Amino acid sequence: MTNVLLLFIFLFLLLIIFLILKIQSDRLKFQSKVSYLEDIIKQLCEEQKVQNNQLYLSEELKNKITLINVSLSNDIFELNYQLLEELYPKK
Amino acid sequence: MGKIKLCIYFTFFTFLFGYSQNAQNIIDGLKNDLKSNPDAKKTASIYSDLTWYYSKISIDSALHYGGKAILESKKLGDSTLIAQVYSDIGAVYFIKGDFLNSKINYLSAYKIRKIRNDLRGLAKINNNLANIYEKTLQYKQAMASYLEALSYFESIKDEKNSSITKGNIGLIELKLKNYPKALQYISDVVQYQEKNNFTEELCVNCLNLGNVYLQLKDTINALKCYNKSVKACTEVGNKKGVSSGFNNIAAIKTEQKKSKDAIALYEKSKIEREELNSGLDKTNFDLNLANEYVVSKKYLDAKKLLLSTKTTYEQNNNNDKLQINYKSLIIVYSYLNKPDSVKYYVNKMAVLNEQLLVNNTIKQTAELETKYQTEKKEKLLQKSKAEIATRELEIKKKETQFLILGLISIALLIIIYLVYRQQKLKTQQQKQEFELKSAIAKIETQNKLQEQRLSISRDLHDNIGSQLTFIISSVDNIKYAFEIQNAKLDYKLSSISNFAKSTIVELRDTIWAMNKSEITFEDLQSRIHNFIDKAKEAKSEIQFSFQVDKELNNRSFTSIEGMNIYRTIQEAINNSIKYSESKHIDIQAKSENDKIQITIKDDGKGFDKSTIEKGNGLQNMQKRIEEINGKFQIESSDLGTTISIFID
Repeated sequence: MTNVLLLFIFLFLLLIIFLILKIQSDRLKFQSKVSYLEDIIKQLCEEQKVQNNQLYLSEELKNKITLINVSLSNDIFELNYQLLEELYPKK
Repeated sequence: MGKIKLCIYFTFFTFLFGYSQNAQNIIDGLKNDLKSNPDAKKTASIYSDLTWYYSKISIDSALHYGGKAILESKKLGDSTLIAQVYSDIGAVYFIKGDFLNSKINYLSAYKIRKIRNDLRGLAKINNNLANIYEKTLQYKQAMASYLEALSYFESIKDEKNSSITKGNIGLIELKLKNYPKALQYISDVVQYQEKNNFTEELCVNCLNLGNVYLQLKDTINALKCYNKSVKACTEVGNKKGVSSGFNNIAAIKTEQKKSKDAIALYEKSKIEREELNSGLDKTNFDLNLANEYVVSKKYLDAKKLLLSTKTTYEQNNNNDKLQINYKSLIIVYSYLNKPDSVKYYVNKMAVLNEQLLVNNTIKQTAELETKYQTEKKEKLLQKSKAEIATRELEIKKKETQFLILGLISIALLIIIYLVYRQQKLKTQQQKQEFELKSAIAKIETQNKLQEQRLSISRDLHDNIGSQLTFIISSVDNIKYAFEIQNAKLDYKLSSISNFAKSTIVELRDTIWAMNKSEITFEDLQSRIHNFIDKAKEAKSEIQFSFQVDKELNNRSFTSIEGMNIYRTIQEAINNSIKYSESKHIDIQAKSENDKIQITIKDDGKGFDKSTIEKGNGLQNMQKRIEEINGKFQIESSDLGTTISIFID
């Protein structure tokens, strides 16, 4: 009886050691996985940052184009006005 | 030798716990203290001390003060003092030979000390009760009580009281006729007490050691011990001790046929005893003296004493002594020529002998019975022991199994905990992983959306570029195809064309920056070079110089940073060309403590910072640099203008 109980203790001890090692290895595996995912997030964030910059520039350009558009429209209007004056002078 | 045995029977002496010093001197001192009207507690304490010290010289006085002490201590309600007084009175009765009253008083003290859990006091009472057991021939109980007391005194390393108790144990061994053991016990005690000069204890133990030597037929050492005892007892005023010492020396003198010396010593002993008023001891001494008178042929004196002792022994049923008494009376009456009395005492002695024989037979039978019962019990005991051993083994085995089971339970609990922890960890990890993956998916979606927006924006820019090119080409075609004479119209066409061209350049610059995730300083440098070349073409009279530190080639910027730096430099050069009337424009980029410093300097007419408000151009430059966390500085004088940009 005592020997059987001792055997049980031994087996349980082995099981405990196995569980501790497994928990440790799982933790390490998870850490490496998380670190990989974090790297991906970092990379994506970098990408996003670049895209944000590009969008910012695009937005800036858009504003500028609006201004250019106004300026060009004025110029063309004036040109047309003068052309009309040239073709049909005031009486 | 038979006579010696007879004599020493009543001279065994047991030590009672109390005080040493000369009794009479102390009594005188205590009485003086009483005269000074002390308080109630002190009075009770003095009465208690008087009880004890009088016990050594006058039993009646001791009992008188004992009564007073008990009254005073009860009035005070001091249980410690009450217990002490009961113990002292017990000791007085013990000395008197009244063992019943002695026991009653000791037990009263025992009860109080038991309630108070006074272990030291209990041990002393145990010792004194053992003395009573010893005197009433209950040796087994006496030994048990002595051993209990000894165990306590040894546990607290109280050597003095241990020695006293050992002395009493030695006395029991002596009474049980185990002389070598008695010699060993008592001689050790005497040596210790001599070394430490415990005179009162020496009075008792020297007497007992003398008795042991006498039993071992060593009369020389016995005499030495008795003399030591008498000396010590006299010193401390212990009259009972002195009396016993004289009595035992007298017994040896009788044996040595020194009758005169013996009678003288017996008389001395008698005087001491009478002063003490101890009934039983007095009778014993009288018997001894009577025997000595018989030896000295003083038959009438002997008869007188023997008749008085006979009555006492008959009252106390002390058959052993009575036998000696009758024997001596027969001798005395024979010499006094009284045949009737001789016949009477012969008959009485025959009856007594028969009674003693019967008693002895009963005793022997009882002893045999006891022996048989003891053996039977021993066998049973051995059987029980074997059973107990087996059971103990089983219990031990079961205990071990329980221990292992306990360990298994602990191990199981640990396993359950570890499994639970693993599961919890797994869930936590899954949750964390899910959160990270969700974040990635979200960012990816955002990136895709931004990518789409960028793509749309690029398409738009491409369209605008082609539209602007179309405008330029249309305007140029109109200009050259129709040979326009109207200067105003011609200027307007040229202005539209130039505006569209500069817009395309600006568009290209922005698209260049947009298409790069990062802009190196080298890229920026070549872009600035292009711009300077074009400026040179437009303003050939101005000399441009552009210097860049080689260290800066490795630096890179984000597209916004690159674009803002480029636009600021462009604006600064344009301003210089337009307003400064300068001949030299110097652009310098250098690295200082990991910071970039870009300087655009001209030798133009400059402007007054206080009078000229910052126009859109200057404001834009400052805004752009501050947007990228840089520092913008402008200095202007008659000698020219310097614009400095500092970037971390």
